[in-house]
Parts: sequence; structure tokens; C-alpha cells
Amino acid sequence: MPWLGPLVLVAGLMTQPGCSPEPSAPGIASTDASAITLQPASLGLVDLDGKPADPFAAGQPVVLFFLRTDCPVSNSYAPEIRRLRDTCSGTGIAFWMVYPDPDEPIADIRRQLADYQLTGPALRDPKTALARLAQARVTPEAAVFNAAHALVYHGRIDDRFAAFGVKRTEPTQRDLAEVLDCIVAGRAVTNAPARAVGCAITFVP
Amino acid sequence: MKKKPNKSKPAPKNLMPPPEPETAGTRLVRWLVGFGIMGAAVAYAWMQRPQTPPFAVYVPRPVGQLTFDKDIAPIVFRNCAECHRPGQSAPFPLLDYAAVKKHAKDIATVTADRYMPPWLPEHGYGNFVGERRLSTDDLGKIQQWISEGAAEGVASDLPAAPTWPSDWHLGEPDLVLTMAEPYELPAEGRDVYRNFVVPSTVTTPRFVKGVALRPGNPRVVHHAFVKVNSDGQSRRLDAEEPGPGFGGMDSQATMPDGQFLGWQPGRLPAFGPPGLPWRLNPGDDLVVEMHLNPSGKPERVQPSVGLYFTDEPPTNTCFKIALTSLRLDIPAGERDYVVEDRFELPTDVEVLAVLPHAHYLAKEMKGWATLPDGSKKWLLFIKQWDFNWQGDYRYAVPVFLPKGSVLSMRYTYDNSTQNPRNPNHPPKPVSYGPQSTDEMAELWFQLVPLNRADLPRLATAYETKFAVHFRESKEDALRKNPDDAKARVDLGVILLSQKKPDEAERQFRAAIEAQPAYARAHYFLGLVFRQTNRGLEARSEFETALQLDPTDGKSHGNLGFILAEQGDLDGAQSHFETALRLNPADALASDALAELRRARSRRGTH
Repeated sequence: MPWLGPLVLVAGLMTQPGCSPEPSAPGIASTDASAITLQPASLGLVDLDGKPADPFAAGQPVVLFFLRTDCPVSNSYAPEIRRLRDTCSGTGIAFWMVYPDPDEPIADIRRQLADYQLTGPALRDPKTALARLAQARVTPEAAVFNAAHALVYHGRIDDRFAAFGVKRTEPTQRDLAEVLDCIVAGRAVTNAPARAVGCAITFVP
Repeated sequence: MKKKPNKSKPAPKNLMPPPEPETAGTRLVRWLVGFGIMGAAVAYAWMQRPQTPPFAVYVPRPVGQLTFDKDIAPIVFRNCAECHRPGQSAPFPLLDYAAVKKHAKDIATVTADRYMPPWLPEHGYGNFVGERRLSTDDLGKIQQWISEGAAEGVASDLPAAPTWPSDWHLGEPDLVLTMAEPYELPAEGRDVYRNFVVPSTVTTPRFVKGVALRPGNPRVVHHAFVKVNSDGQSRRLDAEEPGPGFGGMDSQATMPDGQFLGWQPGRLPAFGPPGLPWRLNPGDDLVVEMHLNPSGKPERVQPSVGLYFTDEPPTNTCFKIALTSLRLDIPAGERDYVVEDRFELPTDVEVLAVLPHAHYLAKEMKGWATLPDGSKKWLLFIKQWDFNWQGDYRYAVPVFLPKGSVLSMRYTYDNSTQNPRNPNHPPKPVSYGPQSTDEMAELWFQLVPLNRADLPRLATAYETKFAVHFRESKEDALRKNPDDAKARVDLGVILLSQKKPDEAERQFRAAIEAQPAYARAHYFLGLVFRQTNRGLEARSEFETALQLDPTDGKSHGNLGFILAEQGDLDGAQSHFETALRLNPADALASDALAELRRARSRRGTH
């Protein structure tokens, strides 16, 4: 089933699930009281060439996908990640793939991005600092920061996995798509974090 | 009828000892509570307990003493490494400390859930070869080791990592057959159930003692069955769909001579039961049925089948029996739909293996035998069925069942939204059928009669039972829709097999009335006419069948016989030749053609 969220919004339906009817106020964290003043330099993020990376530099809403190369749940979401990103093209939302396992070989990451056609910026989070900041637990998991860089959603992309090995034919709840609808419509996100199913992130102490 | 299980209390559930614990700690408590509340039920349960009760409780080791090298590596090598090594079905290897440590959190979760290693039967309800199930002690050690920080230990304790001989565990096969071109599995979407036809190249009949499958892309293949088709039907279905193979679970192919030829991730291939090879004839096609899970990127699948031959003919005959219901009709939202079936054995048998089958709605599966003395012998118990991990299970020791024993099954289904595997959202009524969105209820047993001479008795009893199933299901269908021409023909075929040609004829005529252009109805009506010596009418029906479906080889074959009887040898020969072209394995047509040519050469007409 095609994802029609943005069209519905364009058609003028204002009470999209998960959105506040109030417009979001730039600069104010909508749900997460722990909104942090980001200091990207201290996170130790690097791009695939090892150069410092900062997903927040452009001052726009940011969607992070925490991924790893050897997690089948993570891999199976590649088409959905592409679809969500394509649906939001031209909206000014930045999408980043984030690899939080410091031991994952760069070559494996590059191969995965190519095999699964995950074009777009990718970065490594070798200190798992960004994963901590985004409150990510597993791969795949999404984190959404608004234009003021407050964390407004983190958790599953949708509910197609009920548990390891227990997969719905189609998701019945598309959490991230709803959140993105809200952002595109300029409304505050009220979606509660939804627990993701996937491979546990091992945090670097 | 047994007491309705009480879900809130563990002990009396199905009057069985309680399930294995989620964690070692809660287990004893649950047991003791169960004893306090339901002492009588538990006492009764003990009288019926399985052969080896899963009663062990994990005794924690002294804190900080468990290490990977000494305690965990042997468990991982024995239970995980077969799949978790490069090139196999698992997504990452688990062959050293670093890898196991990296995945420790997930290992703790999936072992506690019993998602890994994947093994559906409950321990103690049938003793199976190659049980891939962690013992309570091994599971406890893994959980304790991870909770204490997953220490490595000292290298001198580390056993050698296992090694594997080659891709063919049983050695180089006598014949390897590979699918001609790979199938392209899409990156996403529903699971794919697909049948791939792999023509056999044997030129003389061979006895096959072992089959090994290389799935060609183990990451996406969840299970596979190797079947045989002798009449070209599978090939025809393949040709009707673009790309290699064809969809669905109705491939017209069967596992030959009472065999179960299954492949599952992590299961080591083994030779078939001793003395029970199966026969592969020239012209037979192998059909590899595969259940494929999209991975997120397009994948290529190209299976190879390795065959191991023997010159020794079988010393007995395997026989398969399915307990089943063809009348499944599960209302939308129903959480506890029950299917039961039974079969009384007319002879002494040994049960060699069991194969349960259902789709996405089944949850609990039970199979057992009630012996003539009233005692109960468990044959299978699956608490939570998972379509993804289906397969057949071979008993470590064949299970003897005396004549008069009753085989029973009881499956339950959840067609509500509570079942995340439910393919319909919102739920809708689901009935019997071959697509994975339909449902099935099958419990297959592979048996051998203790005395080979008893086989016909066993076969007759089973056919009688199955005809009842089949007939009832067709009568159901016709009650729902009297114009269901296919059901009418199916019913007629059963009646014909029961030597009731008059009743069969009525069904075939009614089918034609409902659907005049239904080739199969004309074919079977022709068959009734042939059987009742009405050659002219038969000829007309077969000709009509062929007008509607020129690829119907059997109508050509029948016309060949009718024309030969009527003295039209040219016409007969032409029809036999066409039948044989359509199905090179049609022995009847090839024998008839040879006979006809001999007769004609004697008469000098050709």
C-alpha cells in the first residue's frame, strides 16, 4: 500500500495521528524535556572516510537511522528507509544512516550501502555517543530531531516486527511516517517513543 | 473430552507438566505454586508425563567463574556454529569470543525466548534426532555468563573450533542436479513460496538412499522440500509463469515412496532410513519447494540437489499418513479454533518420523497415540507453531505402535489481531487451501508396517479415511455453492474411485451444466463412459476436452485407446504420440504406442 500521508495533509486534514493541532514552535522541544544543546564535535562522529561529521550542521530537521551490516532486521528495512526518504525529498529534512558499532569494517558498511541502495549521507558513531543522545537501543531504530535539534521521536520505524522472527505481512502502525507527516506539516510531534525490535546496540563505555 | 485448559495457572494446562521456564529462577516458583493450587491435577499429569520430563532446574555456578573459553564456547560450537559460520544461513558467524561477546545481548534475548536455536518441538514429547534445543543447564550458563559481563577466560581452556568437511556433508553425491537459471527474489514484500523444477538426468531407474540440498542462497531460504513429479504437471505449471519456478503449495509433486525430504537451516543432511531407498525413474522431475524470505535487497536463488544412489532395493515400504481436516473454516477474530482428527491403525507399525504443517494462524500442535491398553504416547508437541521453521522430525528410535492404536492430532488456531503473523489485517474468515493466506492442518507420520505383507491393509484403511475427508470437504463446498464445478468433479472422482460410476456420472454432468467449457469435467465424464463401455460417447467427451484444452495428454491417451478399439490405427497412433510429447513420462501411452507399432509392423502397415 503506498504511503499517502503527505497527500492527506495537503488535502487539509489537520488532525494527523501523533501531531499536535498546534504548530510547532521553532526552538522549543515539543516532547522531550531532555532536549540537549548539541555539541556535535564532542560526539566524535566521523564519515566513512574518517573525517569529522555533523548531521546537525545545516540547521534543519534530522532523521537518523541506526543500522548495522549484519542485522537481518536492519537490512530488511532498507526499502522502507528509501521510501520514507524519497517521500520527504524537497522538504528540507536531512536523512542520515548511522553505524554505531565501532568494530564494523568500513568496507562492510560501504558494501551494505551499495547492496541495499542506501544512497545518502552515512556516518559512524564509534563512541555510541549519538546513539545515547538519540536514546537508540537497537538497529534498526529511528531518531527524529526537529529544526531546533530537540529529539522529538525515537523508536521503531513501524510495527512490522512484533518480536525477533515474528513479522507482520504489512505494518499496522507506521510510526515514523506519522512523525514525518507532522514535521512536513509544521506541527508538533506528540508520538510517544515506540519500542523497536532489532539487534541490540552495544554501548561503548 | 479433556478439561478446558486454564491459561492463568501453569500446572493444569492440558494436564501436562509445566512449560520450560522463561528464566531459571521463575521456574521452581511456578512449579511450587502449581503444586499448591492444583495438586491433584499435577499428580494426574505425572501419571501421563512424557517419556523424559523437562524437569531440570538450572543450578547457578559460583559468581564470576563462567568463561567463554571453558563453558560457553562448547555450547556455542555445538548448538550455533553450524549456521553461524561464513556462507551459511545465519547473518553473522559465532566462531570466536569477539563475535559472541559483540552479540551477547541479543544472544541472551533469543536463547531465553527459545527463538534460537530454532527448534519447535517441546523436549520430552517425542525423542528426535538432531534436537537443536539448549538444555536447561546450557541456557542457564549462557544467561549467567552474559549477566556477569561475558568473560573470555584462558585460551588453554578453549576447545578447537569445529570444522566442516565440504558443502556436501554426506560426501560427493553420485549426481548433482542444479536449477538451470537463478530465481530473482524481490527485495521486500510477502514471503515467497515457490516451486522450482529440476529435471532429473537419470537414464535408468535408480534407488536413492540420500538427498542433500544446497539452497543456493541460504540467507533467504527458510525451509525446503524436495518432491518428485512424474507426469509433467509441475513442468507445465512452471511454463505458465514467467521466471523460474511457480508459486503456491500445490505443485502436483509429492515426496516419493513415503519419504520426507526436507531441508531446514542448521539441520545436517542424513541418509534415509536404512533399507528404505526410493525409486527415481527416467523422466521424473525433481521439484524443490522453497519458502523464501525477502532480505531487503534483491537476491538470487539457485538450488542444487545432490543424490546418493544404492543398488540395494528397499526391504520394506514406507507409508505416509496424514491426520488432517480439509474442512477448516476459521471465523475472523476466533482465537482458539480447534482441529482434531484420528486414525486407528489396522496393523502393527513403527513410526519413523513426523511432519507437522500449517500456515500463519496455527499456534499449538499436538500429536499422540492412544495404545490399545489406553496408555498415551506423545509423538509431537509444539507450543507455538512458526511457519518459518517448519520441517520434519525423525525419531531417534522408531516408535512401535501395536495394531489398534489410535493416532490423534489436535491443532489450535488464532485468527485474531492478537496473532501478529495473521496475514489479514483486519482478520477475515480463512478456510482450507494451498496458498499461504489459506490455512492447513496436517500432521504427517512416516510409518513402516512391521510386517510388509500388512501394507495393503494399511493403505486401504488410510484411503478409506482420506476419501471421507475429501468427500466431506467437497460436499461442504457444494453446499456453499452448488455451481462449484471443480468441487463437483472432485467429488465425482472420489465416487469413481469408490466404484460408483453412476453417482460419479451425475456429478460430472452437473459440473458440465454449471460450467460447459470445463475441460476436466468432460475428461472425467469420458472416463466414466469408457469404464462403462460407451465408446462413442466417451470419444465425444475426450474430443470436447481437447477442444477446450489441447495440452491435456490424458485425453489424447484415452482417445488413442478408443480409436484403436474402433480400428482407426493411424488416429490412435497420432494421439498416443501427442500424449507422449505432452508428457514423456506417460508410461501407458509409451507402452500402447510400442504395442501399436509392433502390431502394425507385423501386419506390414508401417
